[in-house]
Amino acid sequence: MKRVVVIGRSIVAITLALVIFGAPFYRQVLGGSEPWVPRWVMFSGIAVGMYGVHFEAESPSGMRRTVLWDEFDTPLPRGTRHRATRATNPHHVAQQGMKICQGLGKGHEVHAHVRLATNYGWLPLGRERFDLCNPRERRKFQQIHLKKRRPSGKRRGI
Amino acid sequence: MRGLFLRLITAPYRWLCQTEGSTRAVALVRLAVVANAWARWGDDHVLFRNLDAENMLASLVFFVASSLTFFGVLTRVSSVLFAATTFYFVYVEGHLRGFEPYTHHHTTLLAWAALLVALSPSGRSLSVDRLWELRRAEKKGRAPSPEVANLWAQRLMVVQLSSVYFWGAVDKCNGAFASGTRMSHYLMYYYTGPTELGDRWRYFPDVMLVLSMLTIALEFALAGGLFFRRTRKWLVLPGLLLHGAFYFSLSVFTFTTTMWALYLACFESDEVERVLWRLLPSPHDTSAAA
Repeated sequence: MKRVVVIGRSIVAITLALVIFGAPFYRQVLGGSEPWVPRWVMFSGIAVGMYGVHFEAESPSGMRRTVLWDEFDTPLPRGTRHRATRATNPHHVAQQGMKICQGLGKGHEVHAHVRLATNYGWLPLGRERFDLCNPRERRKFQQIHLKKRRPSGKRRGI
Repeated sequence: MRGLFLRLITAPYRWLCQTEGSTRAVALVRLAVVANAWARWGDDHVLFRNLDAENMLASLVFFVASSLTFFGVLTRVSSVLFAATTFYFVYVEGHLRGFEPYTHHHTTLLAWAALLVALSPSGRSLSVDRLWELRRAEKKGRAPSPEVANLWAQRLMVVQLSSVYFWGAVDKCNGAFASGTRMSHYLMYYYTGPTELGDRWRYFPDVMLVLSMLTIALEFALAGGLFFRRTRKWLVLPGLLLHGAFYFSLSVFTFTTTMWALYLACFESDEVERVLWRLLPSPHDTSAAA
C-alpha cells in the first residue's frame, strides 16, 4: 500500500512539475492561443498603443527648441491624485500642439514627431512635418496619423 | 559518465518526491495565500455584489473554505474547496465568461498557489487541526504525530516560482525590452506621460537600458538559483526587493505578496526550523536570545 502511495505521489508530482514549468512553452514558444494555459509575460500588454511625442517649436526667428508635452499645462492643485497623461490618438496630440502654440504666442511653428509604443519597440508614425499651429495642417496631421495608427491591442495587467 | 547521467535524473527526483521535513514553512505559506486571496477576491464576492444563485454559492464556498483553511480546520478538505473556488474565479469567471481582471498574472499565480497549498500537508502545523491532534494524543497517552511530511507540494511551489521567473525572463529577451524601450514605455505610461524620455532628461534612456538588463539577469538568476542553498542566500534579498519595487512603483495587485509568500517554500525545512527556533522561544525565556 505504501509503495502505491509513493508511486502515485511521484507521478502526480512529476506531472505537475512538468505542467507548471512546461505549460508556458506551449504559448510563449509554440504560439498556442488557449488562454487557460498559463504563461508568464508580465507587463507585455502595458503601454501598447500609447504615443511617445517629441514636440519641436520653431520661433519666427528660426530658433528651434524641444517643448515638453506638459510645458504649458496648468499645474494641478495640491493633493490632486497623480495620473499620467496618455496620448493614444492623433486628436490628443493635435489638441496639445494647439495648446503649446497658444502658450508660445503668435508666429511660432510647432511640429510633432510621434511614435507608437508596441511590444516590439517604437513604431515611428510618419516623417511628414505639419505645423500644428496651422489649422489646415493640424487637420491633415490628424487624418494622416489616423490612417497609420495600428490597432492598439488589449491592455493586459499583471 | 553513466553515474553522472543517473545523478542528473535521481537528484531532481529525490529533491522533488523524496524530501521529508517540517510542515511549518508550508503552513505559513497557507496563511499568506488565504490572506492574499481575500485581498484580491474578497470584496468582489461579498453577498450584496451579486445575488445570482451560482455566484452566491461560489462566494459562500470561497469564504467558508478559505476561512477554514486560514485557521487550519479540516485543512485537507477545506483547502481543496478553497483552491477549487480560486480556479473557478480564474478559469470560469475569468477565461470562460470573459471577466478580464481575473485572467491577469497575479490571479493565475494566486490560484495555482492555492492549489499547491491544497496538495500540501499545510494543516499539520500552526492550525486548529494540530491543536486537535495534540489533544487527542494527550487523551490517549501517546506522543503526537510529528509535524513532518513529504514536501513534494512545497517543492512544486519552488518550481512555480522558477517558472514565473524563467518564462518572464524569456519573454523579455527581445530587442524592445533589452534596449530599455519597453521599460521607457512603462515609465511614460505610469509617470511621465507622452513626452519622449530623452527630452525630459538625456540620461533616462541609458538608465532604462541598465534597469532592463539587470531585470533580465536577475530573473534568469532567480529561475535557477532559488533551487540551491548556495545561490539562494544571495538571491532571496534581491528577489524580494525586486517585487517590493514592482509593488511600490507599478500596479501589480497581489502578485508581489504571493511571490513573497512562495519564497518561504524555497528554504529547506532545517533552515526554517532554525529561524523559527531562534525567533520563537518562550516569551519568558531570555537565554535563547543570548
